Order: sequence, then structure tokens, then C-alpha cells
Amino acid sequence: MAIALCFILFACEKELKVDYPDEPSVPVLNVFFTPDSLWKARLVYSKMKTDTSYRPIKDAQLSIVGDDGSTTILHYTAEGYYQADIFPRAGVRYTIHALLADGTDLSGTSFAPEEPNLSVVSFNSAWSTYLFDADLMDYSVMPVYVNISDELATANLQFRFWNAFPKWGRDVNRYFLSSDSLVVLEQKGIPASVINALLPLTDQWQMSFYAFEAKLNNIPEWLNYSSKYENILRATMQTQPETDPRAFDWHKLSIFSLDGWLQNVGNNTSAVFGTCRQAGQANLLLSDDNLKWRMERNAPDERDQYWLEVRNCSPAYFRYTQDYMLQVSQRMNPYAEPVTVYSNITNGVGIFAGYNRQLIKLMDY
Amino acid sequence: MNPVKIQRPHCLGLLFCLFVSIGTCLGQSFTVSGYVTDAEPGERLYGAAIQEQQSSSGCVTNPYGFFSLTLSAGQRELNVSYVGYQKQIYRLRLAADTVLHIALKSDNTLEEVTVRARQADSPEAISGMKRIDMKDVRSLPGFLGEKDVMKSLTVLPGVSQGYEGSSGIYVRGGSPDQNLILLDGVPVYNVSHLFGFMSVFTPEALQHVDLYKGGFPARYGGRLSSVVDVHMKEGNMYKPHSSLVLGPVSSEFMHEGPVVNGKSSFLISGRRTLLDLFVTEGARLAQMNNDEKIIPGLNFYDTNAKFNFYINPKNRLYISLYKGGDRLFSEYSDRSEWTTGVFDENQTKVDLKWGNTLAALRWNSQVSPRIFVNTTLAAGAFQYGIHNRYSSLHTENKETDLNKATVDYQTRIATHSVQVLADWYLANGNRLSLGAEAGIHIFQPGKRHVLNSSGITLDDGNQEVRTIPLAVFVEDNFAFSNQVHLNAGLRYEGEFVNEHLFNQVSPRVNMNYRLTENWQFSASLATMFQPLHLLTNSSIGLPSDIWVPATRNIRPETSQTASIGIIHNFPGQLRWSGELYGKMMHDVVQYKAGHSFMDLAKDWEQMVYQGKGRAWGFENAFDYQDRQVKAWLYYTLAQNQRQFDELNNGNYFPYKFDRRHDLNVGFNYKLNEKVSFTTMWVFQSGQAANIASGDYPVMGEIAEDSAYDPVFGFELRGWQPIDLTPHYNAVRLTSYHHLDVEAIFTRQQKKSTREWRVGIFNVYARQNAYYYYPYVRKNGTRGYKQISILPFLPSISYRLTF
Repeated sequence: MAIALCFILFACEKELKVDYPDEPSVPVLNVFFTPDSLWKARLVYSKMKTDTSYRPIKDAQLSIVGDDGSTTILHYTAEGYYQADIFPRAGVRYTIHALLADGTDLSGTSFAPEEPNLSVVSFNSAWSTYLFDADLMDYSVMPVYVNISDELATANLQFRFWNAFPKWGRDVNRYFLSSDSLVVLEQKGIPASVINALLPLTDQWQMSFYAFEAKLNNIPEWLNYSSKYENILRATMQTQPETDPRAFDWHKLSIFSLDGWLQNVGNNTSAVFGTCRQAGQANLLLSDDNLKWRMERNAPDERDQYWLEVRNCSPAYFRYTQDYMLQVSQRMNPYAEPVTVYSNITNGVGIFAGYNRQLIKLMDY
Repeated sequence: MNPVKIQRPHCLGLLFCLFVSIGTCLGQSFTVSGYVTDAEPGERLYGAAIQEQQSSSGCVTNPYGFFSLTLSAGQRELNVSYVGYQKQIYRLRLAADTVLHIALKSDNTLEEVTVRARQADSPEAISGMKRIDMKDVRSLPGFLGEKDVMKSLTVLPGVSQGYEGSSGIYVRGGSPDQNLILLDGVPVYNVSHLFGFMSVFTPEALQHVDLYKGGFPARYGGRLSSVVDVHMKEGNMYKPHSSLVLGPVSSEFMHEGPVVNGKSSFLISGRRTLLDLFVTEGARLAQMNNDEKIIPGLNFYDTNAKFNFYINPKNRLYISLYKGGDRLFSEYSDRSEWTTGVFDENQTKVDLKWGNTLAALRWNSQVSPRIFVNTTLAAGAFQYGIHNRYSSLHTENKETDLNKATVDYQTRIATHSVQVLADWYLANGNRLSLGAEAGIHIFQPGKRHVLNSSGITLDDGNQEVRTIPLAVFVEDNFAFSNQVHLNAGLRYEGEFVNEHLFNQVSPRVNMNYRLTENWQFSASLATMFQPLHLLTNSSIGLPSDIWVPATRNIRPETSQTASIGIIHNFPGQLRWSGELYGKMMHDVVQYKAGHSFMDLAKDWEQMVYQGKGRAWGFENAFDYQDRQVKAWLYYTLAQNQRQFDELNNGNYFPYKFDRRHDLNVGFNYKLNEKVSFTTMWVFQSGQAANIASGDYPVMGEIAEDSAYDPVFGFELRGWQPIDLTPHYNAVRLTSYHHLDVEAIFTRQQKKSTREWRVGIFNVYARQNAYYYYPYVRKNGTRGYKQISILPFLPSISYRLTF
């Protein structure tokens, strides 16, 4: 008996033709506010998937009214941004109104909670391995214990772990060389050519020691004895830690928790969220393979800083942030049910939400 | 000696007794009962009509071929008929209760095949019910020549398939979990092979399939939308018979025959794919000398066995067995040598297995001339497992460092039940059915064990849950006259879950009115109860769906369905039937936003919403059949919606498989006894999809700069905006359609029949989307890509019966 088999199977891939419904653009109002930042809002129109940029709304009237009787008017700057030179206050419930030229009135209400004021009880460099169940990957983690006071017993909290490294041309400290101290340097044997090069940099804070090095590296006398002269120069300068976050590049690191009330969102590892049920302790696991590697080899980099950020979130902020992270986390999973991100803006979309933040420096390493 | 003289009073007395006896015999009623079977192979026929010529009293056989008719004593002539069989006339002198075994001969002459309104009390008089014989299944062109029962159901109005290739069916707005699929009375929980392109039912082993889309008799329960009652053949009681099918995807073999001629029979069948022999071994050979190897594999199999024992004229025993499964695996290995003596060897093995195991023991017993009892003991299970193994070996100067990791996942559902059903023929045209069921369901919704390379273990998942289903029902089939028939019933069903009882009383009514020979009307109402849910959102036929029980947090599903229908026979052989239906569903489930079956081992109750569904539709069926031509046009206009408080601002939205128009046009032409052609065109409106039509910016400080799925490896880079979807499932994908053709060449020989089938699936290579995913275009905008896997597909297959 003769058997003939014919089997052809191949896959074709092409652009999916989607018949999008004819939906008009929607005004988008985005405001996060916190007591340590000036009021700033962004007002644009949403775009279709086929467009590449958002159309800013330039001619709206934005006002923020607080239940403390305050009224703040925001002024347009550029690219859809509006701002005011006023800081929000914690505990005040604010309502924003954005009146567009076509008469549409967007509004939203929220408040900024009090600052978290948590304290780190302890952390140690006892590294262990944590298996994250969302992606089944191993993470090297070290435990950190944080104290939660009674005031935060029902708060919505978000924790993040950051690595801060000074931006190029900046340092972890600022440096000040007074013109008066040049005499001291001369007395200590610093050559005149070096003194003359330093003169323009005196009596003003410099962002980095490199500002001085750049001037001095062309001077042969300096180069011949640079380590000896640098020690003298550093001992003469005043220094203070750089506190402006904009001076650093901030990198999100991974964070987890073994507490049931604190959880990651989807397969995102950059934050844990949770609503406190009672005062006590939060047990966090911080992960950075680079830090672990350097600790094991006792090879610190003094310019590297590690910070724990805690945000006390308003309900709107808490929900919006988690929805967004979940939507992005599942965006490439073709099987996940779609996520609609929370919006508290009437007559539009977006968010008006307050939070309050605490940054706790864990270590320099 | 004087003769004995019979006194006159005694004579009168004797005569009186004689006349009284005769008179008594003439006025008495007796019951004629028995079975109607196919003359060969001896299969029992459901719905055969038995009518007494003089009185016009009649009945039809029940699903087990049993009938019971009460007639007056005397000369009686019974007409026995069944579609596709020669009519038989039985003449008998009825003087006592009589048992008959009537064997009907098959009728191949097409003059007997007429399209006509069904007898008022026949099975198909039930609104929404359709019987499909295996010859109908074999007459349809199939995917790569494969004949499939579930695919053939999607031809019918009101029944649609989901995605390209899916074997899940969507009946009148319902979802695949809302279909009660039975194989010889045992529930089948997953009917997919080969990613859903084929079902687990081996056509050569089957007798027929009954589909109920509405008008559900009270004997059925546990699901909302349909009953697919698949019956295996019983085995040829008189002579052995075999068939062999060789196809491009799978091959099957069936053998049946008597154990004791006329008393007992058996049937065994097996089917297996041959794909892995080519794909897997071909890959091994081609990559034999490679450092990096990827060896895929895919296979599936089905085995069926049926045993049929005739104990005595009133008792019969059946045993049905099924076991089948799929395996999908992939082995990846690579070896990299860096320098002499330093190399890495990595190996990944992914192994997915799933399958069903079913068993049923059925006892038919004629307790009295008017009472027939069927007792069924059934056991069925479906399980799905993933077993992944990873290993990494680093060798440096003869020192080795081995890392291993394993992931094991399993989900399972099993049912053990007993059902007793009694058919009591109260009077001619009035059959009362009483029944009770009890059993146990065992759910293992998903359990995971992970051992990673650091030696850390993770055991999570859901605990096993056992529930106890119970049901009692009463159902009356009552023919008021030859024109009016009523099937009315009441079903009480309950489910004990963790000491809590969920229960419902479900009324069922189905009425059929034959106005004339050419006009028939029907109407039905049914309430259904479903104490278990299927968590699903996968778009391909992987068994990633999880069966879970109703709980206090996630309640059972219920529905109410109503329909009215009309059948009209036009002059000639053309018939039209139309049916309008409406359905409300309550407590249907859906995964919550951001969740999917990929959340393998989380607490499932935290991952779903419950809401409502509503559907309506107007089904039209035009059928034409004569000696050479069979044609059909089935069209359904329908709407299907869901509502969840948490989605779409609590408003109703289109269900994913809301397809407004569903059209199936087919034509079968028999050129002669040796050659026939079939062509079929399928069209369905595009399904609804929840694809974002726009987006807006997120607040910069929390913006994520990439979106990555670690399982599938898809990644988007760049600051991620927020997707804007003003209305849920508002986008419509492109319509689905394809044209299939097939030619059948038959050669009848003395002891065998050979058949070649040459076909083309999707003649004009329509690229219907099987699967879609997001990606970033070169201009930075986000779009979607679709994958189509079934363009122009020719096939050839061979069937031998002997």
C-alpha cells in the first residue's frame, strides 16, 4: 500500500491591520506634588498610536485652590508645562482647575501626606539569595529593617532603593578655597605658578575637585609633586556634602520584601508598595550585584552612594503608580488582561496626586 | 348406563366463560417493548420511530435504543423507521407483554434521504438540538485532511470557533468552559490536541454527536451554554471490521468485532501524530555536529476501547475507556570552548505534557415492560504538567562547576460520578424520566515547585479542593398529539464546597408544534447552573486554562436562555430553519487587569472578577439535498457582551469573541459512486480586541524606560507612555475567512473500500491572525504584528476499511 504524505506548514508575520475607532484626542493633566518641589503641571492632548508627539495645550488657565484658603495660579513655560514659584503644603487638600480655550474644565483633588519620618533600624551586609517568584530569577540581597511609627499605621507607602553617583564634572562634596588661604598654601611650599592658577577659583563653591585639577594639570610643577601638593590643597579647603539631587545620576536598584503587606507590582523590581496595617517594622531586601561584588572584595568607591527612598502616598498617587507599573510590566505579555491606569481628572485623563518623600542615606561605598 | 348429561346451565356457564375470556383478551392492553438496532453492526438507534398502523399510537426509542408502546390486544402492525434505514413492518398478534429486538437495514438509496420536518417527538424536535453523524463529519474538508468532530460543530449556526485553529467552541455567546462535553457520559475537560487544531475525538471510533445549544433536557446540567454528547460506537456484534487512515498530521487505526457473535463485541482504536518522527529526528540529524542544538518535539495520541456485553434480553453492560495526551518539548544545548581546557556546557529542557483519562461502566436494564434504567459509573481526569530543567557546567583545567535548576508545575481536575436514569413509559406518547447523580470533583488549580541553582526551593500554588456534586431531575416527554410535543423538566443540582452548599432548581421547557407537514414551530426556556469555572485568557491551544470550583468568594455561574424557532420545508429538497435566542449569564469570571494564566501559582481567587453576560442571535440554516448534491448556507447574526463593575466604568462591552456575522456556505457534489467534491467557505466578523488606540504621557519621575517580558523575551525600549483605551474591547480585528476544497476518490472492492482524499485548506491563502503581539516601528510608534500559520495548505490522506 503506497502512502503519500504532503505537509507544508510555515508561519507568516505581518503588521496587524487594526481598525481603530474614531476617538478624539483627550486633554491630559499630569501633576505630582510634594512639599519639597514647586508646583508644576503638564497639560497636553493624548495622541493616537500612529502619532509621534503630544500636542501641548498652551492657553489654559490653571489654578490650584487649597482648603487652607490659598489660591495658586500656574503660568505657562514650554512644552505644555505650567508652574508657579510656590511650594505645596503637607496636609492641605488641593483642587486643581484647568480651563481650556474651548471651555473644557479639567479638575482633580488630592493632598500631600506628612513626611514619612521612618528610621532605619538596622542593615547589614549579610548577602543572601532571593528567588523572585514573578520572573524566577535569583537576586543577591541584603536585609534592611525600617521602623514604622504610629503616625504611619494606615499609610500607603512606597519603597525604592537608589544608587547615586555624581554626574560628570561633579563630586559627592563641594569645595571652597578662600583667597586668604592662598597665603597659607604659599607658606606650605605650593609653587607660585600653582597659586596663580588657583586664584580664579577662590571664594566660590566648586562642584568638584576636578575643577581645580583641570586648571593644575597643565602646570609642570604641579604634576611633578601632584600627590604631595594635592594633600596640602585638600587640607586647606573647606568641603561640604553635595545635597542637590540634580548633581547626581540616580539609578533604580531592585528591592523586595518578605512582608506580606509589601509587594512588587507584576515583574517590576524597582519598587515595593504596601498599605500599613499597624506600626512596627518593615523588612526590606535590597539588591545590587555590583555592591555585593565590591563588598566581597573590599573595594569601595567613595563616590557611590546608596539611598532608601520612602514615599508616603496619597490614595491617588498610590493607585496611579501601581497601575502604571503593572500596565508596563505586562505590556509585552500577550496573554495578560489589559490594565487601565487610574485617573482622577474629570473631563480628561491624567493624575493630580500628592506624596511626601523621605530619602535615607544608607551608606557610601 | 345413562350417558353423562351436560346440564344446560353448565353449558351456558362454559360458553359464558369462553366469551368472557375472548372478550377480556380483546379489551386488554399489553406492552410491546424492546430495542431498535442497526442490523449490522448492531448499534442501538436513538430516535427510531415505532408507530402502530391502526391506532396511530407511536413512540421513539430513547438514547439507548429502547422503546415501549402499550397497545390493545389483537393483530397489530408496527411501522419502524429511522432516517437512512429501510422501513420495516412488524406484524404480530398481541396477547401478552412482548419484547422485540428490531434490526433495521441501512438504506443507501438516496430516494429515502429526504429533508423533512422531524417527527414531533424525535430528538431533533428539541429546539436547539442537532445530531451529527460521522459521515457528515467525514464529508467536510478539514485542516490538512484531518476530520474533526469539534471543527464540524463550528459549521453550524450559533457555534463559532475562537482563534484560528482553536478547538474551543463558543455557543450562543458562551465561552468554551460553558460547554459540557461528554464522551460516553464522562465529562472531558480539555479537548485540544496540537495547539487546538484538532480535538481528542477519533472519528473512526465514534457513532454520532448530539449538540444541544438550547432546550436542554433536565438530564443535563453543570454548564451554561451547550451540551456536546459524543457517543462511541458499540462495536460490531456480527463481524469484524477495521479501518486505517493515514494522514499528513496523524494516522489512526480502528478494529471492532464480536467476542461472541450477536452477544458481545469490542472496539479498539488508536491515533498518533507522525510529526515528531520528521521534525524531531530531522532536527537531531541536521544538528548532529553543531555545538549549539535546538531539538523541538511535538506529539499526541488517543486510544479508545469499548466493550459491549449482552447479559440477557433485558440487561446489557458497556465499558468505555479513553486515554490520550500531548507532549510538547524542546531541548537546547550548547557548548562553548574558550581556551584549551576551559569550556561551558549549557542545557535547557522544556517539557509540557497534558492529557485526559476517561472510563465509564454503563448498565442498561429493562426493569419492566415500561421501565428502562441506565446506570453509569464514570471517572475522568485531565492533567497538565510543565517540567523544565536547566543545567550549566563550567569546566576549567579539569575542575567543574555545575549549576542546576528545575521548575515543575501541575494542574489537574478529576471527576468520579454515578448516575441512575429511569425512563418510565407512562402511556403512549408520554415518557417520564427520573434520575439522580452524585459524585466527587477534585481540583488542583495549580501547584509549583522551583529549585534554583543556588539550592533555594519555592513551593507555592493553590491547595487541592474536593467538592461533591449532586443532582436529581425529572423530565417528561409528552406528545399531546401528532402535532404538539412538550419536553418539560425540573433539575435540582447542588455542589458541596468546603461544607458550603451551592444549589439551584432549574426549570426546563421545550415545546414543538407541527402546524403542517411543512411548517413547524418550537420554543424553549432553560435555566442552567455551573458550579465550576475555567480561568482562561490564552490565545493559543496550550492547556494553560485552569479549572477551579465555585467558592464563597467566586460564586457559581447561572444562565437563562430562551429561544423560538421555525422550520419550513420548501417544495423540492430545500429546507429552512430559523431560530431567535436570547441568553443572560450571571457570575461569569474573567482575569483581573494585568493577570493571566502566567500567574501560575498565585491564589486564583484574588485574580478574577465576576460579572454578567448577555447574548442574542438569529440563526438561519438553509439545507438542500438530493441524490447528487448537498448544499448548505448557515448564517448567524449575533451580539455577545460582558459587564464587570471594575471594567469599562461598569458598562457593558463586547465580549472578545463577539462576532456580528458568522457565515458558512458549503457544497458537496457526488459525481458518481467513485468521485465526489466538497467545498466550503467560512466567514466570521473580526473579533473584538482591547488594543489601545492612543496613549498619553506619564509623570516623568516614575516613567519606566523599558517594558520587558522575561518569559517570552519581548522587549520595548524607550520611555513608556500610558495606553489609552477609552472603551473596553472597542477595536475590531480583521475578519476571518477561508475557502477549503476537497476531492474524494473511492474504490469499492470485494472486501475493502479504499479512499483517497486530496484537499486544500485556505485556497486563497488568507492570512488569518493566529496570534498578535506589540512591537515598536522604526518611526518610534507602537504597533502590532500578527502571526498567521495556516495559509495555503494542501494535503492528501488515505483511508482503508476492511
